Amino acid sequence: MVTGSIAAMAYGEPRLTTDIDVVIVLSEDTISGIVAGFDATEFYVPPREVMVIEGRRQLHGHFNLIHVATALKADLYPAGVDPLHRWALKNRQAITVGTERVWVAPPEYVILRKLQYLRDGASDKHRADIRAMLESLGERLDRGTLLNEIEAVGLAREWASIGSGPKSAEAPAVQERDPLFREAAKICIQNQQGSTSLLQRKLKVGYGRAARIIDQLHLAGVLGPPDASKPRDVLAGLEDLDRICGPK
Amino acid sequence: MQSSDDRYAAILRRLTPGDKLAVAHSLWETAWSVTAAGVRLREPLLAEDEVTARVRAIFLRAVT
Repeated sequence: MVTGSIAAMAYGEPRLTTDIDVVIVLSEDTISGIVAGFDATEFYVPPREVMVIEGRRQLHGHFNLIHVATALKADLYPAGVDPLHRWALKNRQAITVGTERVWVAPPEYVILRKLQYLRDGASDKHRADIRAMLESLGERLDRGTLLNEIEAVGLAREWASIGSGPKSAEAPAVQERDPLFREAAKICIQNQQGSTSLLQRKLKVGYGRAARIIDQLHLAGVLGPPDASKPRDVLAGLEDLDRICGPK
Repeated sequence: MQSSDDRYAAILRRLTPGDKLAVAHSLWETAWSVTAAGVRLREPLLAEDEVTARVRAIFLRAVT
């Protein structure tokens, strides 16, 4: 299953890269397939023992294959017991490249990994990749699953920073909020529910913008997490508006 | 009014996944050619296979 920058391109915009990230379920057969499939005169292939050791790691297994003539590199990540890898493999998507069908990680997984890289101090290219994916995918992205995972693995701060690039550490979310954020918060509190359909109706905005505002309200603590198709719980009152949104 | 960059990005986003990867490959080819031209400019006496070896070494260390 392809992930990383190549998957981000498939879902978003093309950019320059010199490597491809692949999550694999590594077995003796897979290792034999790699050894047989990549001619050692054309490719750097690690010794079989290295692949076996990396494949036995429960988390963070990793090895490379390199095409010697072009220096194109494949980073291979054995799935191990990482539950996110397992979820992504189960939900992988097929895309067609030329005449080939290629398995690609689901976009929610690609975004989560890039948010983790951002948290670990990686380059701003991941932020640009995520923005392009969000622009391209629109409603095809499973925002409920994504936001649940973002919350579960503590990436809300990185997610909030996607809106408009690097910001001061103190108040990134406030600067990126939709101009209708306060009005939306008020509507949700007055109606004691939060849903995109409510905001679409009351604010006369499209689905995409309403969904983004709902995400922002969740991150600000106005709304609870998504709960299947039910409207979200409201966690704040009108008296909290100035504290959350800043004074009018 | 949208900038030309934004309009170009919107066109790229509408491509099929396969076409996006074809564009990425063409970017890679361009980067390789430009890097080789830079190596030749700095060291005009290098033979072509040495230029290729230098470009390969640069690409191997590249962070993309």
